[in-house]
This record gives sequence, structure tokens and C-alpha cells, in this order.
Amino acid sequence: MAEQHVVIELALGKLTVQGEVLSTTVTKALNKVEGVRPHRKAGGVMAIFGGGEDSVQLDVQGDTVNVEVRIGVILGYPVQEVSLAIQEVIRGELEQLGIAKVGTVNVAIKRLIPPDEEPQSKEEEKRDA
Amino acid sequence: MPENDERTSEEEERTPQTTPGGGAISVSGDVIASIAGLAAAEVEGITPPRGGQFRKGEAAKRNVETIIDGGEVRIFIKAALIYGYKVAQVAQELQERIKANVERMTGLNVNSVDVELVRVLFPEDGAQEEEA
Repeated sequence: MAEQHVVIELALGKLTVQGEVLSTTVTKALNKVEGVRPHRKAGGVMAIFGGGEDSVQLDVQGDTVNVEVRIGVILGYPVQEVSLAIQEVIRGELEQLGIAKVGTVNVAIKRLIPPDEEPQSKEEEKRDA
Repeated sequence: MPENDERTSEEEERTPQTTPGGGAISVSGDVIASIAGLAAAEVEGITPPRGGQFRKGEAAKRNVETIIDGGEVRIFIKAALIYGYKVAQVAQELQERIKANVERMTGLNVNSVDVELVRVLFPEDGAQEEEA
């Protein structure tokens, strides 16, 4: 994923916000939504949401950021509701940064996860990240 | 951040003022970087890129670059944003604080303060850890 950045002209100089700031914010947002998991069995939440190649994609067009996320949803959680929640929370988090408008937030559900699939421990997530 | 060949952080700037003794006053880019780093430390919501505190002296140059040209100073600073703070607000305060401090302490005019936010740090992940 090519890192993109947002550049804003402030009164006293330029403000450059690197893509990692945006993608980390999106990752944080995803972690707030229930029923969302990595879409691959191997690799922790951070590997997919924060470090995976295609998990979070940003497209900065001028002062607008378009987002695409690829996730797994735990079986039993209504996919549409989860997706709407994801869109809402990502939009809210990015808008809270106050630097760019949020354009589209596309959510790609890549797999359904059995509810009894054990989530990775935080140590495993860090190791896989 | 400026390219290597544009950096003049080692270059001294002669201010227009002369001392009572008739000599010139010089301010090195390193001093300006130190002042900028200390000013940044006063701003809530940002840290150096790896966390911890902005430092003075040699360590300040790690995240602050200066270009001095004809009495005018341009400052470039890299930082991390602490999650929860509004980017534009923090950046604006940072610019204003650096400009005010540098101008007050050196008498030089700060033309611009360019800010680059390279990452987000979370308090629960040790946003306040000391920079290596």
C-alpha cells in the first residue's frame, strides 16, 4: 500500500500528515467495532488492520480521504449492521482529526469467522504484526 | 524536511544588531533548533516521533531542522500526534509557540514553521516512553 499524506497550508507554514497517522486512526476505529476480526486466521488484528498489505487502503485526493477496509466478521453478527458501524466509526475518527474530509468508506467483508474460533492473544498479535 | 544540501543548521546567522562593543551577534542553527524543541515540549498533544520529550542541544537536531537566510528563519519539525488531539489545532499551537519563542530569544524573524506529523501514539502504548 503506497503511503499517502495530507498537506495543509496553515498561517505559519505547512502541515504534513503522513499516511500512517490516518491508517493508525482507522485501525483504532476498527478495534472499537464488535464482531470484526482479521480475515485471515494467521496474523493478529494489528497485522491485518495496521500492517497488512491490503487491510486498510487510503486514497488521498486533495483535502478528501477515501478509505477501504477489508475485514472478517464473526458469524452471527449482522454483516450490514457491522459494516454500517465500521463506516460510522471510521468517519467519526478521521473527522475528529480535523484535517481532511472523509469521502467514501468502503468495507469489504472477506470472510465469516466461526464464533468459536479463538482470538489471538495480544502477545500473538504483536508477534505476528 | 529540507534536502541535505539545503540545510544550514551548522551555519551561523549574523543579526543586524551590533553590540555596544561594535561586534556582531551570531545565532547558530543548533540554538534555534534547541529553542524550537523546548517550545514543542510545551505543547500538549505532540511528542517526538518515538515518544518521550523534545530535548535541547544535540538531541533537538534529530527532529528539528532550520534554514537561516538573510535574517529570516525557516523551521521544520517532525513529531508524533497523541491520539485524541485535533491535528490542526495542535499544529497551529506548535507553530505559534515555536515562532514566538525563537523570535523572542534570538531577535530573528521566523518566516515559517513547517510541521510533519509522522505517526500517532496512544497513551496506553507508552506515548510518554523516553525516546531512544
